[in-house]
Amino acid sequence: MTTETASMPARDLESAEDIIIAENVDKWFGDFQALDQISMRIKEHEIVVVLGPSGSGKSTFIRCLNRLEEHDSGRIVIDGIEMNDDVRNLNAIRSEVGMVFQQFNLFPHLSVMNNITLGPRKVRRMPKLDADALAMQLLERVGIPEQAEKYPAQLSGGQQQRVAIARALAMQPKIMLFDEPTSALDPEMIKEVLDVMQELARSGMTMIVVTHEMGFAREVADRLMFFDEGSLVEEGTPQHFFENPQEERTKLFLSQIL
Amino acid sequence: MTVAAGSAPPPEPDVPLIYRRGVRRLLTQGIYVAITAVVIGYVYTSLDLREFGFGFLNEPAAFKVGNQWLTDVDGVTNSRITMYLVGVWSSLRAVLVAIALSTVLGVLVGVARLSSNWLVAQMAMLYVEIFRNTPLLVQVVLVYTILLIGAPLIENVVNVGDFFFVSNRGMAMPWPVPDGGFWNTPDWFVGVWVAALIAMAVAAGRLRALRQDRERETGQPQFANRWAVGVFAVGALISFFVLGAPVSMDRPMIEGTHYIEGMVMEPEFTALVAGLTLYTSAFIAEIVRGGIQALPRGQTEAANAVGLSGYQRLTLVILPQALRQIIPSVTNQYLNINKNSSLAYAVLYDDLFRVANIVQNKAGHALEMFFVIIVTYMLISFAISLVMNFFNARVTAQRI
Repeated sequence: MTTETASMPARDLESAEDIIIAENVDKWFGDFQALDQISMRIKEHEIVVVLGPSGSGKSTFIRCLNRLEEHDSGRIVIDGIEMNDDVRNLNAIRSEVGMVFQQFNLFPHLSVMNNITLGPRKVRRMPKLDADALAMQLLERVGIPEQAEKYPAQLSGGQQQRVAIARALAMQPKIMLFDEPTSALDPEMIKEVLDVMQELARSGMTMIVVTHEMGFAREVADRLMFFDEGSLVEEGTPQHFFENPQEERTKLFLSQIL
Repeated sequence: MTVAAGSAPPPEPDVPLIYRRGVRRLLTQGIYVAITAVVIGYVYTSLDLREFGFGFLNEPAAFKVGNQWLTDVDGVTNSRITMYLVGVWSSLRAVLVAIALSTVLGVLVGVARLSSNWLVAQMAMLYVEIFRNTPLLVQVVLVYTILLIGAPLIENVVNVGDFFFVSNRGMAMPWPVPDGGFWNTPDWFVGVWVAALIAMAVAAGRLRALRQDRERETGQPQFANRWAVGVFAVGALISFFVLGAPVSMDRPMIEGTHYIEGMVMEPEFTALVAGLTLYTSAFIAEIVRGGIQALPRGQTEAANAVGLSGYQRLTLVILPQALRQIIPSVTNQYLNINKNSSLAYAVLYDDLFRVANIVQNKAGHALEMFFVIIVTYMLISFAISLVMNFFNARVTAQRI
């Protein structure tokens, strides 16, 4: 892999440890092979953007990384924890990996505050006072502290997605997964969510982002991956991708999307 | 077609009467009133209303009513209305117990149907299919038959440490009754202790709230629930002895072929409640399943991603949202339990309908008795609806 200058502040990715290791991961839905021999290594603090047409397996892959989907064969190791049938490992991995969904999936019966504090209080047994303080701090970070007492239905899509990011961050994960976080948003709200994600990237979070936002991919990503028909077709720096893609399928996809 | 500005509008067309909306409405209303009048008139003239009145309810009953609990009337000096109210109490008991049990069982089976454990899900499905697709009457009589034939004769009663008995006369267990205690107090003195218990329950609730507040403010665990339970338990024990132990447990005994004392759950009651519970819980299970499945999959995924356990996911995320869908449908099932409780008739459980029939056999006045029966069932239904609507309003207070 060639190292190119990213527009990100200097982070020493060269000496960083691999935090995600996938080896020959297969996933089947009945007769349909959703993932075909996916292998990759992602370093701590790295920002990876995953591209690909719909049905290419990119969402399935990141959903395997916190076991919303179970892979059928191959290995996945998250921060040294083997993803297997050991329930202790599963709990450990889920507390290391935060997830943000396309449809936000906030809990509609809970206030913004309680959406964020539910995990820390019930899973981490954090006292309510500490959890509330943490939630306010995170709401400041995503820029909507004044919405703390509202319910999800009272917020705009962009605000809801920012609450969802705060909810995931409340579990203090080492890795954040974003599954098309801006695809369900009105155009004028996309930027406010991308800004929060960019701030998060700058803070050193390891991020894997499935998105069609090419601007974000170009500016923020350390590495791009292109999935098609369940395979990892091509990977490389943004510069490599946008200026010199090698595979025909990558070229075709980029020509359609850019 | 355009009309030139300033020109006179075309003359208003003359609509025949029969095509006018007002006339049409008046006509249909008139037909409806006429039919109603004819029906009521026919019923009224066919009925012999010379004897109509409710005075007969105050006459002495002169019949026995079984399956009594907390009441002890023999029908000799009591009026018919008293005996009827004893029947109403028996109905209410069966309905309330069946509502409670079918709710618990229904939620369990409904959740079990969605279990990722194949065997559990299949068992739950089998349960639902059996009890939803067979008549309630058959289920009630089946349970009754099993209890009468399957349970040992009272001569061979199953005796668990002189505390608990099972036979074809039902199940008997100890029950608290007023007792003179150390100071030989009258029976009503129990009320003093009960009042003390209520006062302490309120105080314990207050303490719990206070400690919860403190936990919220300081972040230090205050063990609110343990404190509340502890204070109540200690207070209950102390007041019990201070008041001279006014209650004692009445252990059941067998005299001849009958239980005496203790609390007896007779086979008639058990059969009716079991039948209503099995039948209704199958429907409630389907309602619960539907309510849960109607939620977006994302809710489960988000709960998993946050790291909640399966039980936390169910109780903190899924059920609170599913309740909005569930409560109105479950209310209907509660109303069905009330109405279906009249199947007590088949197992000779002396509910309100059976007692009313006895009254009618003795005194005639079928019209009045059916009036009373219908009004009673409606009142119970209204009470159930009222409680459930209140509950529903609380659950749906927040728009989601």
